Amino acid sequence: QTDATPAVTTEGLNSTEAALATFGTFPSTRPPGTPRAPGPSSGPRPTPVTDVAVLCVCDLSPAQCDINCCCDPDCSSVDFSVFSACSVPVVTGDSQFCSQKAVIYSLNFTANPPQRVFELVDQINPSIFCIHITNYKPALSFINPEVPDENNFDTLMKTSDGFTLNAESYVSFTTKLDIPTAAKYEYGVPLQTSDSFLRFPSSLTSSLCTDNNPAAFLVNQAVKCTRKINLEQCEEIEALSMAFYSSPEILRVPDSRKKVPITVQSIVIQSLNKTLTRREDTDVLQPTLVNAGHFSLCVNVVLEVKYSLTYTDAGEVTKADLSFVLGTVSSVVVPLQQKFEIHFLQENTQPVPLSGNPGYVVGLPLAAGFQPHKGSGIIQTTNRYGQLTILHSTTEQDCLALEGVRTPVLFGYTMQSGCKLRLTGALPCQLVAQKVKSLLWGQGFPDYVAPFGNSQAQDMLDWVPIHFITQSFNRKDSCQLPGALVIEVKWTKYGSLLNPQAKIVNVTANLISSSFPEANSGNERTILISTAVTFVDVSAPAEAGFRAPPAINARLPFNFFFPFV
Amino acid sequence: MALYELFSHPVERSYRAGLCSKAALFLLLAAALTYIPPLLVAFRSHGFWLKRSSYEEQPTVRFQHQVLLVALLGPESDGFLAWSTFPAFNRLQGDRLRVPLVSTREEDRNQDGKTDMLHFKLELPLQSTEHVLGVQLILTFSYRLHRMATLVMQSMAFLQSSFPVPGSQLYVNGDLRLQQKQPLSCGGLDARYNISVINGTSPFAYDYDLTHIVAAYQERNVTTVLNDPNPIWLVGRAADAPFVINAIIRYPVEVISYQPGFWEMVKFAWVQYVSILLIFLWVFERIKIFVFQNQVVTTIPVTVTPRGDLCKEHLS
Repeated sequence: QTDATPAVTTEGLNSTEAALATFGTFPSTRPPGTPRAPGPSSGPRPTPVTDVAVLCVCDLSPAQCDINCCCDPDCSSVDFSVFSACSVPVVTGDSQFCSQKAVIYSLNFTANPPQRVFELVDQINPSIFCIHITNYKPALSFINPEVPDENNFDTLMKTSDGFTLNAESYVSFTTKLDIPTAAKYEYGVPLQTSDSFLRFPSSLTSSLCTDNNPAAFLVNQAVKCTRKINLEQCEEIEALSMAFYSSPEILRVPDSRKKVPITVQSIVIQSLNKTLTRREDTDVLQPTLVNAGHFSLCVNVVLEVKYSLTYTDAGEVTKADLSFVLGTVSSVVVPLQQKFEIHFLQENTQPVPLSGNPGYVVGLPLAAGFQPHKGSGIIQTTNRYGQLTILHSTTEQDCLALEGVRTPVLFGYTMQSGCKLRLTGALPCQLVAQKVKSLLWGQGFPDYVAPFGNSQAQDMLDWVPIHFITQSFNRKDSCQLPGALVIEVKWTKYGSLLNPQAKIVNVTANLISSSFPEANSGNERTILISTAVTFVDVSAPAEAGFRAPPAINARLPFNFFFPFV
Repeated sequence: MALYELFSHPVERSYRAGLCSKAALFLLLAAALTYIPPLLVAFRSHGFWLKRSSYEEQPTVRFQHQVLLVALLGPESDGFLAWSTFPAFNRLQGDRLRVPLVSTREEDRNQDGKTDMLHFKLELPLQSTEHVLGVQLILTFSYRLHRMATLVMQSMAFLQSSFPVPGSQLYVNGDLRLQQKQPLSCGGLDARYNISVINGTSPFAYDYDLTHIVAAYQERNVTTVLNDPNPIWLVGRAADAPFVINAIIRYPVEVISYQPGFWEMVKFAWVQYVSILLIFLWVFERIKIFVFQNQVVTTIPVTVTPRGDLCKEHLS
């Protein structure tokens, strides 16, 4: 037995150090499970919760003696004789008190065999900031936790800070969305159908379509998203077929039996070369795969879906119209882009969209038109987004191949776009110049622009005429090739400072041309043709104004200086 | 009847001695010890001379409508596409030139005459076989500060972002932050960097090289950077859809550090010096009163009284 002692000693030393290092935190912690004795609070300090003479933190194995644990009741005097040191030499109560009970364990190595010495002393805390009297006794120990019962359960649940999973999010979407109170739709409430809700595909985290997005009442939306499809399976993909969009029946009001069927108003067929033809009938068409030689085509694929819902002021949906653009899709345009639109119309109204009331709103198209003859009103095209347009950059980039792709001029957005003109020696200048000019101006470039977003077509005098300037460099006599069209819109703020309204005061369209480059035969040259729109705010900056300076209005009585004046 | 002190006034007492006396020497020493140590104390406790100070200002930023775009394509198509608002750059690109549709808007949200943000949207038309994997975009701005020194600068926002998966859209929403390597001066016009970031008139390819542009820009002591930690790539481009760069660049209020001018420096030094001097003045006043009252140095005390004859008596 004596031979084994040195081995235990070396091991014991390490554990002693470890125990001492963590000793500082020990007195304030109570062993779990020890009930706090409420006890009569008689003395200046609270009665200790645990008896220091019994407390033993190193007693980790029940019914077995822990090595170097001098307070372990399982250890006999024979065990103590082989200990090298006490891992917990002192057990004290709360060390913040000025005096507290402490138990000091030590080993008497002088005795043979070594004995454990147990001392129960009153330890005096030398610190001048020790606690002599506590008048708030619960402050020194942990308070008892609240036991959940039916009254405080909900509040306890709310304070929980882990991951929460609730059953509702996994069951059907509709059960969660139903609003029991109102028998009408409100703004932003999903539109319900007989089985779930009206689906309005939308992009989510990427540009790909997500079909399970609900359409919200009175929220007008226009969304473009992408579908990755396998053309061979186009007949089976639901999202490409008309029926997917036209079959649901919208509930007139939430949770009712009355259904409003979606009626197909129009079907426009887009051919492979993007020409549009309108179909007379509105039968539901299915996408069908056509194998034409080497490559396969899919016809009647849904490209655009436009919902137009009519509602009453009582929050009911009374009519649901739908129009489609179906197209022929080849493998060139896969992944496919689809366009979805939904807008809401109030019953018995005929809305006239404005670009502002009165001043232009940023992001809405400029209103523009022509005056066919003197004294008449302005004629505008019905498409608001087609009244003043500029060239749109396309994939082909070739100016001569480019046709009809225009982008509207939106108020407040400066824009730039262009195309490339490849010149070879064979092309005659006059023809190219003619072509480029018509390309830059587009079909029916207007003469007049509305000063306000709500200008009436008959108020001819209000409209702002477009100034056309042709700027050319180099020699006059040579053939001029237009290279750029710069449209400059000068606008000013109008009205009160708090709510300024944008008013267009001047529009210039500047066609910049230069002399036709003399291309050597066989030598190809590429010229960049560009269009730009700039918006210039010409309003004078608002200056800080001051009221009239205060005047002293203290007058002496008129006869104050009587003897002298 | 009890008596109260209703009024009091100090009586002035003078001490007379020769100019080369011990008393004169003591006074000289006391004066030196009063006025010099506060200076040393103020200096040794650091920050006596204000060398750097800062102020807040929202810069006047205008987008100059100069854009340089490089779109890096996937390996199946050759290399990259490029476009800029510089004709020479476009001419140099040849077949790699692809003209996008750009629309921008600068917004003044609080109507204070200074623009607060830029909405920038660029639609780059792509063939169905082309896939954008990365984007390098330079936008240039004119940047002005007015409050202390008038800083006029042409700066840029450089955006570089790439993703291993072909994108359909890049969304950036960040701040155009000012970066200073040295404090600005406190006054005058600072037009050191009022030179264009990209030399648009140059016909040489070297001037449009991105490495050269960035290297020249980083040489500057005052620059702006686009601070957007997380550009968002949206994947899933349709075959005939363009690649879209959607950027919102905000012009926030900046904390600008500057070198204080002479009078500001002196003012702060004076405040520090005098506050320490007051303590020394009080202490040495006490010491001097003690020394003269107890005749540590020999002087002739005189109580100043309104009567002139007493004065004359002592003068003699």
